[in-house]
Amino acid sequence: MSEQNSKNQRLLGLFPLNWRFDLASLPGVRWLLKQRWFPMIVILINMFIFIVILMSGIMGGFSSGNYSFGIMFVWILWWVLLMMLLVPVLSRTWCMMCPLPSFGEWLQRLRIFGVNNKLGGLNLKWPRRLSNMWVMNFLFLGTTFFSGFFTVKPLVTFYLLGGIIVMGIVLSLIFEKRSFCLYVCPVSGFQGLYANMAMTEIRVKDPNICAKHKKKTCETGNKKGYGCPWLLEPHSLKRNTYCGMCLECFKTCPFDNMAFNIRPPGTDLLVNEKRGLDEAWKSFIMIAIAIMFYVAMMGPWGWIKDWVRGNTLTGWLKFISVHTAFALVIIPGIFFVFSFLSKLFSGSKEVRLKAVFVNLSYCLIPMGLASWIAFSFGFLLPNGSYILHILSDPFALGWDLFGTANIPWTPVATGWLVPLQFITLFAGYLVAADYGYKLSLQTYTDPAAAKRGFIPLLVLLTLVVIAFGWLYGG
Amino acid sequence: MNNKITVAIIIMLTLGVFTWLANYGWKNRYGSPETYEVIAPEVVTVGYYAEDLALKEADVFAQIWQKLPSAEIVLSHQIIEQPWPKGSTPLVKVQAFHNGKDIFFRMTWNDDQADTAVSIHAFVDGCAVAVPLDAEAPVRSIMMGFSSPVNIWQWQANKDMQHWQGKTGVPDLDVDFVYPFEEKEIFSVSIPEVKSAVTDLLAQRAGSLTQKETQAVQGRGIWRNGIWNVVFKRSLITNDSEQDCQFIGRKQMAAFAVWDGDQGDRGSRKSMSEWVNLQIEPAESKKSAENQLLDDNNITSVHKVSWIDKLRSLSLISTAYGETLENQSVQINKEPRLINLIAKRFEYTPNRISIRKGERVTIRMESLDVTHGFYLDGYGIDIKARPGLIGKATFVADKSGRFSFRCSETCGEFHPYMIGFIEVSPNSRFSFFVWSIGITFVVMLGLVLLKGKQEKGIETNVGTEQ
Repeated sequence: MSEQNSKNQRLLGLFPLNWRFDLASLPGVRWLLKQRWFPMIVILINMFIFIVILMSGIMGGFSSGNYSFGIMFVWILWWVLLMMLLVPVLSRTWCMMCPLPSFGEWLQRLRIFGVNNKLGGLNLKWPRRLSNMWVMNFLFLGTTFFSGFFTVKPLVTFYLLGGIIVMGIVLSLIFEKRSFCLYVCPVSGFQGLYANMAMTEIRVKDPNICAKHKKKTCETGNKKGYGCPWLLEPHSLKRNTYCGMCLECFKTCPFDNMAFNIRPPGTDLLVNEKRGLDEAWKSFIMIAIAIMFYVAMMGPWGWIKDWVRGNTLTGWLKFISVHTAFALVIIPGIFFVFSFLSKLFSGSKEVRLKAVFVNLSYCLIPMGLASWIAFSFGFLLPNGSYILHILSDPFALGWDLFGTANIPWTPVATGWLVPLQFITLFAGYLVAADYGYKLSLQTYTDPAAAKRGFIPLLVLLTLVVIAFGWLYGG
Repeated sequence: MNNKITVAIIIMLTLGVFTWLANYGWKNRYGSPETYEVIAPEVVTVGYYAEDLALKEADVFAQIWQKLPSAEIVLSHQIIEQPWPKGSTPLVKVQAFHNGKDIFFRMTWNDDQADTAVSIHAFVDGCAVAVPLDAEAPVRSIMMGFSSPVNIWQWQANKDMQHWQGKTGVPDLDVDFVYPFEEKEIFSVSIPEVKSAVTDLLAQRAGSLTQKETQAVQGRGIWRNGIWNVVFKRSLITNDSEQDCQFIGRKQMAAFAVWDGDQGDRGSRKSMSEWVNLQIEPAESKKSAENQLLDDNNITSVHKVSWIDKLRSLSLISTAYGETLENQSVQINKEPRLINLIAKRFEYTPNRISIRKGERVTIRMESLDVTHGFYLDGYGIDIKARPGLIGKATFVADKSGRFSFRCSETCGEFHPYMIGFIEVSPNSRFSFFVWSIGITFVVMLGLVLLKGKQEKGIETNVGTEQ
C-alpha cells in the first residue's frame, strides 16, 4: 500500500483518518499535563467521592438502590459517563483519574505527588501466559453474574468496589507497577477495547526524536516522573488499548515529544498489533452483556428479573448458565459461522480462518459501543433525576445539602428514548460497516477477495443492528 | 524488616479492614439499629361533675363542655380491610365527664359538609366510642384483634335525623313502610323503629361486629359551622356486664372512630385512633370544675397534626385517579378500551400491551402488594395504585411506536427495572429504522461491489504511524 493511498483513507468517505490535532500544542494544556499534581489532584477528588460511595454502601445495606448515593453515582452517573463520554471521546481518561488502584500505587511509591522510581513491594513480573485480556474477560463476565445485586443493593456495590480496591492493593504489592490495571481490573478490559474507538490518543510527535533518545526515560523514569506504569513503550505507542493515560510520559520526556491528539474515532481498529482471541472474546462478551442487561433491566419479563436478582438459587444458576453460554459460546459461534462464510466467499486460501475471525471481530467494537451508548440512554433519561436527590442526601439521613433532596423522580425526554437509541445504533452500524470493509481489505491480500469476504460480514452487522433495534424499540 | 514480611503485613491489614467493614455492612444490611421511644397511650380525663344532660340540642353545646379539657386524638385510616379510603379525618377532640350515674363523651371534628342521608353512592357521617369489656385486657392494635370483647357505641347522622327530628333523610325510603291498603305496619322488621341515634354494638376481632339485644346508649349530634359535635350518654354501670362495658374502676380504655360519608367511609372504612386511657375520677372527690380547668396538666394534647399530614391525607384523592387531559376530545364519544393491568413486584401483567394508533384506552391498574406507579414514556401519564385502590388513566394513543411504562413509586430493590411495553401499532419508528438500515445495506453493498477502482488493504493507523 502506498503511503499516499493510506493517507487518503477516510471514515465513511468523509473524515480523513490521518487528521490529528495536538491539544498539548496549546501552551496551557501542555503546562497542565506536565505538572506532577495533575492528574493526582483529580484522583484525590475522585477518591473523596468514592469514599462517600463506599460509606453509603456500608450504611445502605439492602435498601432500595434508587435512593442510594453509591448505586446512583456508580451505576447511573459513572457508568453512563464512561460509556457515553469518557471512553468514546476521551479514551481511557477514567483510568487516568481512577482512585481504585491508587492505594496500591502509593504503597509501591511511598509518595503521593513526588517521584520515587525505586518502587516498593515484591515487584514480580506478571505471568506471561496471563498477559492478555482473558483474566479480565472472565472477571468481568463473572461480575455481571451479580448485576441483579450490585446495581440495586448498596451493600453489594460496596463489596464489589471494596473488593476491587483490596485486589488492587494486594496485587500492587506483589506484582510490578499497574499489573492489576493491565491484566485484572474488570473495568479495564472493556475500556481498553472500546478506547480503540476513542477520539483522543497519546502518541509521540516525532518518532525520529525517540529513536535517537537512548535513555528512553519514558520507560525507565527520571526525576520528573515514573517510567510508564502501564509497562508500555510510549515512544512506539500505536493503540489506546493498554495506555492508561497517566501522563507520566509527558513528564519524563525531555524533548516534549508527546502529543495528546484529537483524531477521528476508531483509527486504532486498523492497527494490527497484539490482536488476539482475548480481545475478540471481549467484543463478544460486551455485546452479550449489553443484550442481557437490557433484557433483565429494561425488558418487561418479570421471570427473567427474578432469575437475575436471585429470587431463587435455581433461577439464578439458570441465569448464570444461559448468560455464560450466550457470551462465551453462542455469540462467538454465530460470529465464527459468518467468519467462515467470509473466508468462503472470498475464495482466499492463504488467509487462515483464525486471522479472519480475529481481524473481523474488531468491527464489532463500534457496534458494541453503540449498543452500550443506546442502552445508557435508557438508564440516564428515566433515572437521572435521582442523582439530584442523592447529592443532597448521600447517606439517606434526611439531609438536604443542596436543596435538591425533595426533588421527585422526574423522567426526562423519555419520549425520545427510542429514537435516540435508533440513531445511535444506526451511527454505530455505519461506522462498524465502514471499518468492517477496511478490516476486510486488511485481512485478505486480494482486494477482490476482500470485497467478497466483506459481504457476509455486512449481512451479520445488518442482522445485529436490526436485532438491537428490535430489542430496544421494535 | 524483610520486604516480604512487610508486604504480608500490609496485605493482612488490608484484608482485615475490608472484612471488618464488610461484616459491619452485612450486620446492618436491613438498617442500622435505632431506638424508638414507646409512646404511652394518651389519657382522657373523665372528671366528676354534678351535671346531667338530657341531650337536648342545647346540651350538645352546654356550658360544661366549654369548661372541660379537650384531648386531641390523632386518627389514621384503617388499612386492614380493602379498599382503602379516598381521604381521612386526621383528628378528633374528645371530652368526657360523669355525674356518678351516667358517663358522657363529646366528640368534635372538622367536616366541611354534613352527610345525613343514605342513597346509592352516598354514605353518612358517623363516629364511635369503643370500650373493652375487660378493663385489664392487654393493649393491642385495634384492627389486629381485641384482647377482649369490645362494646362499641356507633352514632350515625341519618339515625340522628330520624330519632331527633323524625326525618329519614331520604324521602322515598319508607314508601313501603305502610302498605296503602293497610292502616298499620305489619312488617315491622323491614325498618326497625329508631330508638336512639346510637347503635350499641359488640365485637371481638375484625368481622365479628354484632348489634346488641339491648340498646343502652343515647347520643345526639349537631353539625355547625363545619364541625360535628356529638354527645354520647350511658349509665356508668349496667345490669349486663357480659355485653356492656362497665365504668367501675378508675381506669378504662377507649378508642374513637370517625366516618366521613362524602369520602366514601362506611363499614370498616373509617379513621380511627389507637387505644386511649380513660382516667375516671371517683364521684367522692368533689374536685371543682374551676380547679380542674386551672390545672394545665389535665389538658391532654396528643399529637400535633402538621399541615403536611393534612395535605398528605388529601393527596390520596388526587393520586387515586389520574387522567390525561390531552387529546381527549379526539374520540371523546367513543367508549375507551379498558386494559386491566396488575402490578406486583417487579412486573406488570400483561407486560406487553398492543394498541392501535388513535385508539382511546383506559388503563386500570391494581396492585397486588405495595404501592406501584405507571409512568408511560412519551405520553407523560403517571398514575398510582395503592393496594386496594385502583389507578386509572384514559388517553388517546396518538403517537405510534413502542413505549416503555415504568413504575413511578419506589416499590423495592428492583423498582427502577419494573418496566412494561406498550406497542402503538403501526410501529412506524421501528419500520423507519429497519428501512434505513435496509437501504444503507443495499447502498453499501452496491458501493463495495461496483466500485471501479480497487483498493489495497490498509495496514496501520495512518495518523500516527509512519
